[in-house]
Formats: sequence, C-alpha cells, structure tokens
Amino acid sequence: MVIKQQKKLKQGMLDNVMRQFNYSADLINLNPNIRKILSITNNELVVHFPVKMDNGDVEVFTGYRVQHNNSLGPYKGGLRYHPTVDIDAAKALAMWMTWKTSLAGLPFGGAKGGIQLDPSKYSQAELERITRRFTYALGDNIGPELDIPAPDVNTNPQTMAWILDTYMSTKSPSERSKNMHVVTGKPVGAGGSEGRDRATGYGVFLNIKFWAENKKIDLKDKRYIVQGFGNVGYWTSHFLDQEGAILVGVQDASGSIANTKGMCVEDLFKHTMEHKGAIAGFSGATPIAQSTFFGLDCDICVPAALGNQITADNANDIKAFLIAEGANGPTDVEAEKILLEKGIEIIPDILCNSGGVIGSYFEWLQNRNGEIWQLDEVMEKMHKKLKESFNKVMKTATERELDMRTAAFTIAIERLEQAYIQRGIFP
Amino acid sequence: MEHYAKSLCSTCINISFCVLTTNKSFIHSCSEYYHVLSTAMDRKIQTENYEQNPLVLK
Repeated sequence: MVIKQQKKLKQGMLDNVMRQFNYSADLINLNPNIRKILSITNNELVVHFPVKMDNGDVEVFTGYRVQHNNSLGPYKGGLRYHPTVDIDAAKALAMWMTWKTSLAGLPFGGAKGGIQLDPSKYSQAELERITRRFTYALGDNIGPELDIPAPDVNTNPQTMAWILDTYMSTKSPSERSKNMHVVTGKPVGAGGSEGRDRATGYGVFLNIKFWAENKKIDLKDKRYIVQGFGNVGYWTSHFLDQEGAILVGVQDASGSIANTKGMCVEDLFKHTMEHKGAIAGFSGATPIAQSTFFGLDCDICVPAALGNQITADNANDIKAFLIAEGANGPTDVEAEKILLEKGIEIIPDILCNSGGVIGSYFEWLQNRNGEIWQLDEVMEKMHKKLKESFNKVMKTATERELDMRTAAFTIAIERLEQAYIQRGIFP
Repeated sequence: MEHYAKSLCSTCINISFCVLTTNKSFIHSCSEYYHVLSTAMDRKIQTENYEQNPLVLK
C-alpha cells in the first residue's frame, strides 16, 4: 500500500515526535492503515471565549484541546497556560501522551491543551474566571470517561479544582458526584490522591532501582548527579539517598555545585526552600563551571530539567554508566548514538518519567471507584505498575536487540496496533 | 518575550541568569520553569474593584 507523501513537517516539537514515531513504525513494520490513523489527531478543538476582567473590560481568549487517540481509553493530558500554546504544540504533546499512556499499560489515550495567555498579567480572580469559562466552553468535549485534563505549565491543583467545580455545576445534582474524575492533579482535600507530589520522582528512582537490580548492581555508595532540583530532581534524590547512593553534583537555573564526598539531599532541599528554589550558595558543596557539570565523575546521571542537555558537545565527557531521563528529551539524537556506542545505557524519558501519569491514573481510579488509598498503598501500586513497564521494555530490548528507547516506543505502538487489529475499524 | 516566542523561557523569571541552556528558543518543558499561578496564590490580588465594576462592553 502506498501512503500519500506527507506535507513537510513544521520544525520543532511536532517534528521530533513524528520522527520518533516514524522511526519505530518503520522498525516494527507497522500496519500502514494504523500508521495513517496514529499519524493524525482525532479531534482538534479551538474555542474563543469572553471573560470579564477586574476593571470591567472584557477580553476574548483562545483555548485549545487536542485529542490524539482514544483507542485504549479516555483521552488524558495536561492543560497549560502560556503564550506559546497553539495547535501545533498541543498536537505534538497530545501524541506524546498517547505513546506514554500506552507504554505504561494504562487505559488512557493522549490529549493536550491549554489557553494562549501569559498568566502573570492576570489576577488570581481573573485566572479563576478564565479557567471556569474555558471549562464551560469545552463543555462535554471533556468528561471523566472521555477526556481527563491534568496540571501542566502554569496550572496547578487549584486550577483543577476550579475545572472540577465548574464541570460538576453543569450537571444535575444527582449526577455531580459521579464526575470527580473529570480532572486529575486535584488538591488532596478535593479528590486528589496521596503521593501525587512525588509520583514522577519516585518513578525515576524506581526505574534506576529496577535497572540496577537487573544488572546486579547495588545502589549503595553509587555516585549520582542531578540536573534540576525541582519536584522531580528532589524526590528522585530523596529516594536514591535512602538506598545509600551519594549525590555528588546538582545543577539548576541558578548554577552548578559539586562535592565529591557527597551532599545531604535534605539540607540542600531546605536551602532551596529558603532561597527561592535556588541551589546556589549551598554551603555543603562547591560551585563549579556550568560546562563541566555533565563531565563530573559519577555512576548515574539524572537529567531532570529540560530537553537537549546531553548533546554531541558533551556526550563524550559523560562518565556515568547510566542516564535516567527524568526530563522530556534531555538527550538528543547525536548524543544518544555516542552514548550507546560507549556502552552507556539510557532509561528513556517515556518510561523513566511515567510515574506522574501513573499517579494520575491512580487518582482517577480512586475517584471512579469511590475509594481513598493511603500513601503506602499508592506507592506499592506504583512500584508494581512501573515494574511491569520496566520489565516489558527490558524484555523487548533484549529479545529484539534494541536500545531501551526504541524498545519502549515499539511496545507503545504495538499495543495501539493490537487494539485496532482486534477491534477493527467502524463500520 | 519577542525573542523567545516559541519558548517557555519567554515568561520565566529565571531567564536573565539561567545557566541551564544558551538556546532558549524552543523550550517546551523545564523543571526550573517558574510557574506563575503558584506564586499568584500568595500574592495580594487586587480584586477589590471587581464587584463595583459592572460589565462594560467597549
């Protein structure tokens, strides 16, 4: 079957996501009809809605919701508030969510959306009205069994609580409590789940632990560096510390620090709390040049900040034997080739930072079933779920002689392919 | 913001000193990004006039 030549892809995120998809689709010889379906988003919704500002003026905002695929379950993905939000960005991120939920073995598809605005220009009361009016504009295009938004850039548990309240208010009184799972990432007191705060970092840690167990390596006394000491970086370090691993380097927006003898994770966290989140000035370590960070002598490297950090320029400097991608896309294509040739293994982002969406799934499940799980129960279930994903990736990588990233994409796409083959195409 | 129209960096307060990357043009995800909404929660929000201002369509 001949597939029509696709129009040239726009540069940027969508290009990257499509390149990764096409590479894996070629590798597994994906059914051409299913490739066509997965290359396109199911629904792209653009809404324009008016909101009254504090000064009485009315502003009209543009909101987006892109629903990529729901063959495995309801659409799932974040809502971001930022000037960069547009249909292409939402498409790329929605597609990425489809692969992520598929790999994690969740009954979810992929979606993304948001509002094109700079939230710093609006008051809290305005943001609340914007959120509520956006929710109303989305109407029944979202829903607990249809499309479940979550926090993303510039949105938080409070935003989710407003969405929940607005969505529920549009339902009849007898239906309202059935809709608690229309969003995840809610405050714990408003239907949120215990453990959601640490889910992504715990997931990164667990992947490192599973990898080490698989290689029969003890994490005790292994030295690690972390880029980014936000939620993911801190919690990953917190759990690695409990295993006896030693934090020898950290980098964040404010600078880079190192201590070959190790630094106390909790002291560093306390320092960041007292210094607007910045690691700079921490007395338990010495400042180092930014360019030397990834070349620090260590066993495990956790890039947990942003994309394209490990490149052809610094890949040869890396001394770690394992890279655990806490961030999205921290290793670029050229660097990955260099690292794999050197025998350095990479736990890919799609697997490594999937703890967050698994945590969201647990919240959705608790709301849906009218249950409240304690923290230890959430952590135990997270362990089990991630272990399944990790084992699948390792098994596929070994059996098909693939690197872990390719293996992960292969599993994600094959699960979707299987769903279409079994269900067929209506009519 | 004009320089980084396609990047989260356009609204990040760390942009002037951030050492993480020199290429701030296409950042779509960053753990160091300063989330505006969370800080807005702590700010004194000037909404006192809201009730006194009826909807005015200009």
